[in-house]
Amino acid sequence: MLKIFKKSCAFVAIAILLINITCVFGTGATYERNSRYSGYGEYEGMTPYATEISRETINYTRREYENIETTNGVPMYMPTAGLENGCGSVGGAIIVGFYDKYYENLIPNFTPHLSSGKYKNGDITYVPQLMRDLYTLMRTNVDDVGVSEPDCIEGLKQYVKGKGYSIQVNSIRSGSVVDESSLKNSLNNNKPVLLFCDRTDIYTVASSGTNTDLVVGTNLTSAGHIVVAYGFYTLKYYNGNTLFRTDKYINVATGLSTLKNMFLKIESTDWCNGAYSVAVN
Amino acid sequence: MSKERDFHRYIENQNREEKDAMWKKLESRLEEESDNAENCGEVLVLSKNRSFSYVKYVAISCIVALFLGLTVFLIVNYGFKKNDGFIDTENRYCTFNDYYKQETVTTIKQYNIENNTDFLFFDFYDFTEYYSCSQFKLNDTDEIICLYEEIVDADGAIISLYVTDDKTDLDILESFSTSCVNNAIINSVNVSWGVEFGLAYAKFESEDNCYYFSVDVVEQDYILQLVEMLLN
Repeated sequence: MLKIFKKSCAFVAIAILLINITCVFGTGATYERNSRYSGYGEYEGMTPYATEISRETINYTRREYENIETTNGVPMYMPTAGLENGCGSVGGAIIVGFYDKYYENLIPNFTPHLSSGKYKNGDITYVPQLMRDLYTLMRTNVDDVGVSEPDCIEGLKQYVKGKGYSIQVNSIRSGSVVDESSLKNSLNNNKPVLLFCDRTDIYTVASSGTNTDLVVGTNLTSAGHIVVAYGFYTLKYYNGNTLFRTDKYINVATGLSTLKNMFLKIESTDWCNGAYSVAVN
Repeated sequence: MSKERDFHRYIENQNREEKDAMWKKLESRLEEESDNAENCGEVLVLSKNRSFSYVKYVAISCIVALFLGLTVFLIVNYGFKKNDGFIDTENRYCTFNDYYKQETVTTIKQYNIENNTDFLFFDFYDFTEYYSCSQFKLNDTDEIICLYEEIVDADGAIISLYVTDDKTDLDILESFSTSCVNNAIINSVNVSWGVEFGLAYAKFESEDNCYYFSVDVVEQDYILQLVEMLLN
């Protein structure tokens, strides 16, 4: 009896120590892709926002670029206060705001664009309310931190259908990357694309005007994050007549900034968990 | 060596009588105690005490382990993250985890009047088709760390303006450093600017405040004209 008691005590002591070690240092488990999307928020394992990951200078004699973009891009909404881990609702709001220009009252009593057709990037009443509605419909922070891919899509569908319109959400992911021709096709047809990112490495390209480009890569977040693609850029670099480099970028609304010079590398295989062309009619 | 031995013997023989008396006392006490133990009849008492001390040892170890674990956990997860380069320092770098954006009806112009500040702003309010204002506030204290205003100019171009003090850096404004690759001096102020992919960017510092703005017009003259407009 005494031996059993002693063993139990020892077992409890070891268990407590193991729990402590796990809490403090993490499980050290093998890497798994994010299945929840929270964009930001403070929790274990998350890297700080905007960590520079690369900086490259490209010298050339000539640069050409082609781009495809949805008409007037998309509204560059940012999260409204109080909606923690709400990147799903921001991404959804950007899609709804985009289509509200064409389908009235998707956002009730709100005009999302200016007379020029350009999108307004902010509003004090209607867009925050839209985000709150989507936040609830997407079941954000209900099962776990952030939103899951199915819940995000389902919440967006429910919202659009609730306003009397139909919505089609079609996957354009091929293997571990976004299918380039499907993405171009979607953008050419004025349909933005919802991207579920395992990690969000944003590239900013700046040209000095002296045949030099600076390309800076920044990891926005190592947590799962949802962004909206609205453009595609192909940059071709030449030395003389020799094409020595072609870079392909997806232009995205990050949902964390109103800035437009934000690119994802389409060819990188380590970030795309899901890509969906969204059409409302 | 023999001197040392003699010296040792000398110490041992000192107070010999007192030492003998002490030994006798000790022996008599030990005898008394062994008699008491026999009277109790149950020698297991000692064994029980040992068991008790073992449980006590395990319990104390558990509590100490739990306490240490909890302390380290709190320090690692809250202590460092919350304070690292942020609290108790003059210069601060704020990430999206530190602040939130709050939409507001208060324009920068109005904010200046209400708070006796002198931030620069685009005074297009009377004729603009649209403007929108936000404030970035710290989660913990609600302190305003950045003013943001989006306003449409007379030609329909959308200008996005961020204002911070010169001690506060925001993560979302870092890309201005990348995009603004050219330099100019306007009204004795160093201005960094750049044009890329349909947008023009500029940033500069004036009277202890930092200004970052973009406009969706790519002519480089226009972004510099806007800087001049702000500074005049």
